[in-house]
Amino acid sequence: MAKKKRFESEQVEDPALDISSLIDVSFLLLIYFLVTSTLEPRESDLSMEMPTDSGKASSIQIDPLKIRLTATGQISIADQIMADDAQMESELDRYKQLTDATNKKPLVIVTSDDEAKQQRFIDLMNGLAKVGITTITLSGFEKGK
Amino acid sequence: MKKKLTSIKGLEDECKMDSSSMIDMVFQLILFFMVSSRMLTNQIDPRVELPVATNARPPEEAAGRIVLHVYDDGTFGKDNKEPLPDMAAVTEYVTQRKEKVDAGTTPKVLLRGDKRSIVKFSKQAVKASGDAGVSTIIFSAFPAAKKG
Repeated sequence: MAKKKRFESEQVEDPALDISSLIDVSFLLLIYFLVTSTLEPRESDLSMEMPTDSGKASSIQIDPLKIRLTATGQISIADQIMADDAQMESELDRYKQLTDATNKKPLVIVTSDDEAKQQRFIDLMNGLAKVGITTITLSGFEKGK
Repeated sequence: MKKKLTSIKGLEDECKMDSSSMIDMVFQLILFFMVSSRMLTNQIDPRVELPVATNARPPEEAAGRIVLHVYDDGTFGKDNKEPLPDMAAVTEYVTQRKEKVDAGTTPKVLLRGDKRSIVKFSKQAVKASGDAGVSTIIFSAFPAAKKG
């Protein structure tokens, strides 16, 4: 009888779950997520309206701004070579203010050399987006200039 | 002496740390990482290295986007990275996707052009999109340079 009593008391103490290994696993998972996660820059938009030739002439008379991008990455606005991106942005801003003041829509014609680097072309789009010009016309294909 | 030993044994029994709250906290952290991690539904092809544009804005509307990859070697690819052999295939692809765009939504071509490529290929993509009747081009870029 005494033996039975001791057995009963042992049974009451037993049901204790050892959760230390569960913590280990959880921490391993946490470390895995922390180590594998990388800070990836988020993809962003440079939206441009590039109207296709509709064959209809515009009724509004506006002076188009001619921008040229050479194969070496040099940008010229209205035949004036831009020393840097800051000068380019200030020229674009001046044109935008002029069109806003005269209540006209800016018209930008971009002539880019085929061999110019895509990053440089995006730099130009970046400058246009900064001043708020979102409608441009890409001129025809040119080679070796 | 015997009594003393018993009291020490009793102390050992009492010194147990309750780690259940720690597990709760760890699981909360794991859940946070799992929830906060972004699911990329429209993944950028790893072969395309996007250019950097500081004035690029986060995407406002995902609807109506026709993804077109432009690789540095001058080849083109669909959103699922399937190659497009020539310009006719690009025009056909944009036309097909344009037809699937819901009425009332403006179709836009999301041009993911590699920064090492030349403008010629982007121009070709713009022309093909124009031929397909899509005039809104979104140039994909990173707002800041990628680290590492």
